[in-house]
Amino acid sequence: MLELFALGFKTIFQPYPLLLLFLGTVAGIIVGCIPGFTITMGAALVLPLTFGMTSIQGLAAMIGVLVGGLAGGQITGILLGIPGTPSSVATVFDGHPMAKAGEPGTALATGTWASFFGGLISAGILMFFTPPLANVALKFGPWEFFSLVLFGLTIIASLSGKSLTKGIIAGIIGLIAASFGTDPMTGVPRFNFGLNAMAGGFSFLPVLIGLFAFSQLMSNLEKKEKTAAALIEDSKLTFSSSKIIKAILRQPFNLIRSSLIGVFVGALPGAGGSIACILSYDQAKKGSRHPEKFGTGIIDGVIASEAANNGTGGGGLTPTMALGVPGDAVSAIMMGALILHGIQPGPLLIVEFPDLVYGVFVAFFVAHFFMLVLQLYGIRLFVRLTRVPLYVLIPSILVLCAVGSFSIHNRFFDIWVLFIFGLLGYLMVKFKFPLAPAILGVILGPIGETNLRRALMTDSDLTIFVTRPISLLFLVLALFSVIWPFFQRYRQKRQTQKKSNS
Amino acid sequence: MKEDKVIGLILVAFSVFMYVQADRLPPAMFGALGADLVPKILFAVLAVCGAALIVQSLIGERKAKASGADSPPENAGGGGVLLKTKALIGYYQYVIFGFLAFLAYVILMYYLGYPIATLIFLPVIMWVLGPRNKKSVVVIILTTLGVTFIIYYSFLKLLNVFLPEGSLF
Repeated sequence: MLELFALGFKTIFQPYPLLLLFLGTVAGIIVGCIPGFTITMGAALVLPLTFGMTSIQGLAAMIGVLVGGLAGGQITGILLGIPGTPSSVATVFDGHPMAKAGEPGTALATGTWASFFGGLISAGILMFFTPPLANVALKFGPWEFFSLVLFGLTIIASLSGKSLTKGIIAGIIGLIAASFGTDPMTGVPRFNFGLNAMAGGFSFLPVLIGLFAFSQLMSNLEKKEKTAAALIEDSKLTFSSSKIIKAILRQPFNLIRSSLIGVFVGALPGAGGSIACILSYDQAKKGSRHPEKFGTGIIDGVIASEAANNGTGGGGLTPTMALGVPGDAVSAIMMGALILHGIQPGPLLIVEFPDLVYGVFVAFFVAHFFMLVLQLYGIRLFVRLTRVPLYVLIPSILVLCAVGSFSIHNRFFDIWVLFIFGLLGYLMVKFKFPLAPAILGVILGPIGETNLRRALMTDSDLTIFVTRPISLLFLVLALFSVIWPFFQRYRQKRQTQKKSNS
Repeated sequence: MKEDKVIGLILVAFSVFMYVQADRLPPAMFGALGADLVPKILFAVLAVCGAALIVQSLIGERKAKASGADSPPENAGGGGVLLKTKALIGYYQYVIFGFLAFLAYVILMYYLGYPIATLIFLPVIMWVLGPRNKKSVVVIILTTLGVTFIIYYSFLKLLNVFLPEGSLF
């Protein structure tokens, strides 16, 4: 065990991976603090760059983006009352009142330290739960994998949007996009419509950049504001770290509970930072001795939200590294980076590439130190960056999207794919279809298909899916996640009826 | 939502069309396990979901009518359609422009290659989106040159990745 961690350290503590991890963290804080730019978008934009790197360098850069983004969302959330990412929604509740009361520095530093502690706790869980989980998964056959993929897709469909139907449709769209091109089992070309360029199908990189970055950029054009954020006074950004650390550690229960909520929610496919921070804020309020003070600007609320959203980072990476089934959109893109390098994620990953998996653990750990230093001492710089006008930012990133899509296969067709999926993604957002299921569909499609057909080829008997206990468990969970929204609606209806009767 | 009906119809039509396409795939060597199996399942599920979307939308409309909350005064006033379209285009003008500008950029890049296309695309789109004053002209010129060459250099030299050269050259 220890020598494996040493291996991870050796992989990461090299000049180039460390530099990329650092730059990734900077980039993450930037996309995090600009409202309208998401962490997923940042990761999708970094994806083409990783092509010129080794796999561990690429992963390090992406982990930086993830950690920086999760923490960076609080900057605009606290200072402006506009969360930079959905994961910082609950930070605004208490963070912004604190800033208005003349303590923006304290609020930001509290959030940053809480993110740091939450991240470390989730890093610990990531390190100690991934190996045994992968060990269990090594015994999985194609039946278990297929059922697991099905569970991952249904739960993301039911959690990520208001309408289950739309969630499932989004997931299916992702799966269909992945089914174009050469059949993974027999090599038969599918749906190329006689076009040579379509023979390989849609490569997932322009699909992901289109769905997540391009469409988001276009949504930003709707707004009339010329900059992402209004002016912020940065004169009052002073704080005392020792006091803040003491104040946070005086609430160990809140900190640990919030981090664990984050880890757990993060590990569920589809549920990410936005759900985690609200859930944990709610729990902190319920468990507090002075719940009435929540929302007026107390550090308890900031701690709960920020510890939870960085907690989701480690939670999301755990199933990704152990099972090859990503817990959220960002880890799905990380899996994409691995696939680009010809590495198939799954339980064998930790056996075949221990340097990579333990390198990821160490990188996730180290990124939190980078984030801490950057955000405590570089805060003025990031605040200034949010003032870069959108009319400069959006076109420049559009160019990067086009070049990034082209660069992977040197295929001009991929720029068209980017455009088509950008348009599709924009329309999906407009008509309230969640995007996260689509991205999981794109990544999980080939895995699900290969395993289903492998299972059926081994034995055409369908009942094996329900007679193998672990496979059955995943199927039951999948069914449960589909039924759950109906059950919840029914319960709500009955409650409102009761209220109106009494 | 009213649009859901239309989206549902499009999804069902698309699924049926694609299902037929999947049916034309060469038959498998081992019974039902060909390249067509999974796409067929997917299009079947998509068709069912599309139908469900239509049904949900209809139920929603009926409920809204039953509760007396008729759809807001969208339809009130004659000639509303034209006005509504105008308002929509007004709201989405920059988005529509953004998509069209990118489309033009891709076509330009195909013929003229990355550097020239980008040197045209960036100033035009920034000029349309940004404020028109002396300061922004300077910003636009500097950003255009900076972004074009930083991306060119970093992809070509640092990452050893090719960029579109243009089919005319």
